[in-house]
Amino acid sequence: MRILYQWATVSPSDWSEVDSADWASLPVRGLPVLEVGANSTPGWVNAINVQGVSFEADHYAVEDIPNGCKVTVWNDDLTDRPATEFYAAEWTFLTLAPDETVGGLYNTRQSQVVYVGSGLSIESSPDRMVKPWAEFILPDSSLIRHGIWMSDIDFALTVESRTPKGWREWTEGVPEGNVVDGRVVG
Amino acid sequence: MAITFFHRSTAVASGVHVATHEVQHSQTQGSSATTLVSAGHADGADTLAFLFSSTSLPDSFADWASGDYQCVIDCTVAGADMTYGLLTLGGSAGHFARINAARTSDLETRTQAEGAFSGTGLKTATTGTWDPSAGAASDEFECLIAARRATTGGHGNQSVTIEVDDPGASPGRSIWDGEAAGTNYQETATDDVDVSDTVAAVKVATQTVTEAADLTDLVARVASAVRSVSEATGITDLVTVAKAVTIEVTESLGITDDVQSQLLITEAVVEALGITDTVTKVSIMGRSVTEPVGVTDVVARVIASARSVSEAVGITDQATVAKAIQIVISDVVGLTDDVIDVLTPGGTGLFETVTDLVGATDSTTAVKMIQVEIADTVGLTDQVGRLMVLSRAIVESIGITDPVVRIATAVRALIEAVGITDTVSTVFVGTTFWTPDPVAYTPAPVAYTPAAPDQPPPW
Repeated sequence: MRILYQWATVSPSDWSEVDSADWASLPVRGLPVLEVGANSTPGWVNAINVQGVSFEADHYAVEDIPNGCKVTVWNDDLTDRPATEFYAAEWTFLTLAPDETVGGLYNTRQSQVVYVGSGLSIESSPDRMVKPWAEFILPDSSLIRHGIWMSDIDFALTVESRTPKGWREWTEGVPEGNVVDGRVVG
Repeated sequence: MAITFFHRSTAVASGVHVATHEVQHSQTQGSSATTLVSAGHADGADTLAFLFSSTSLPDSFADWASGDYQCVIDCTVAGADMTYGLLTLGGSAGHFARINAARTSDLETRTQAEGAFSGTGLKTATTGTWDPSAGAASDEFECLIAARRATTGGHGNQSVTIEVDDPGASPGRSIWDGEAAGTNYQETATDDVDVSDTVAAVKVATQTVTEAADLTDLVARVASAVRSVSEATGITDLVTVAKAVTIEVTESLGITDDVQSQLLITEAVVEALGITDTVTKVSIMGRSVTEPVGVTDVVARVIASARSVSEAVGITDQATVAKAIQIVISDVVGLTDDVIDVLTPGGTGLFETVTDLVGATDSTTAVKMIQVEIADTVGLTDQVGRLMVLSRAIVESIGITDPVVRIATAVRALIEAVGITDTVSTVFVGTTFWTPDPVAYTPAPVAYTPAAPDQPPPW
């Protein structure tokens, strides 16, 4: 599945694109333990966008699955937060498909499992399951990319440089007749 | 009956709440590009993000009926930690509401039956069964969407961005479901009397609507039926309204045959209104399509009628479009033998009816009179102008611009409509009325004197 990502660099650029099957081949940099702020070398992720859902976290992983992908993000750096506020989210994205609840029109298929420390309060919902942090299992190390803490000013610049990309632009598997100008319609 | 209100970007200030975006509910769908409206949230923050109001409900709905009111949110971009919906999130109370016309107070509210939404896509919030208390006819329908970012220790802002003004098939919209049962003319009228015959079903439906409204004028009765469909579906584009009427009626009855679709609704309407005069039947068809939707330009009225027929039944072939219109007209007035009844002076069909009225007796005028009847329908009095209007209406409605093709198409439509296949008949519009000169043709003899051989020319 199509994955949009943005590197954490001092001169931020727009989204880059990679297929979820190729995520492991992206540049990788180690945990930025002693380094603060972005620099010009790719390898630290600033954000990911899948079907319009944007992720910003301490750590990222993308796994290719049949007809979609699984995105895992988590915050567990003790230098930034106590263990009671650790947080992880595993999102599953499947390709768009007709949805009978909206009259058979194309719609997203997304679900998530959230793992939270005892100090956080996250509500469950029909497409969000909440579990304790202790049940979170790290993804395969080859899939893990790290983020880096940026100043508010630098972070704002990265956000401004992103073009909005919404769910209708994920056209994989949708018949040509339902795609107009790169967007899924109907 | 439900009324659909599309989510639009036009600002509509609310005195009830302070929301990031206070925008419009409109029965008019967007016609060009979509617009994105976005609300950003810091870690743990919540807001009233989007408020839709200004619904302009029909005056007769002071007491909203029990129904399943809905709000379909087209969330195009969302932060992973965001939730949203018509419910209370943190300190922000989203909801469906009945508000006063001044938009200064909520009169009654209802939260969505579903849990909070997350992620992107089309998200349908529903009230479940909701029966608001009676109020004023001027009250409005409000949808207020709250959003909240979970506290995860993240920095910066995360947003929820929705699409509005979408002209496509799945726009963000709210559905007001407050009309009492029994007023959906197609479903309830036919169900009540257990009508299975298709013509009778439409007839009953039309009678229900117009008699309930105590209408007596024929056109007003048809107009009322048409309006009830168009308002129910929220369609305002003129041609689309007429098209929707045909589609809505015929699809509900399972009719798929092209010509039969338009024929059926016309038959049903004229029967429902007790019309027996054939000319009036034809006239009603044209007027009923164009008058309810406010088309006054003469050419535009004929074009609208032609387009509504052809688009409704999905005809794209140019000649077939024109032919179908002719067939529908003649079928409506009960012609069985096309050529005889249309063309024979003194016959029992359209020719007699129409030509007697206008005093025409010759055969060529017979076919023309069909067109004249259409021109009468739209109020043309100038004879030349009548034919010009019809020709323009046919060819323009099906998009022909080449002048030769325009004439050819009109001719084809006429002759195919009356079933002529013979080539000579085609050219002369009916051999019945074409009598060749009975005098035998004898060419005059021409003297021929060959030049003498081997003689030099005289110059």
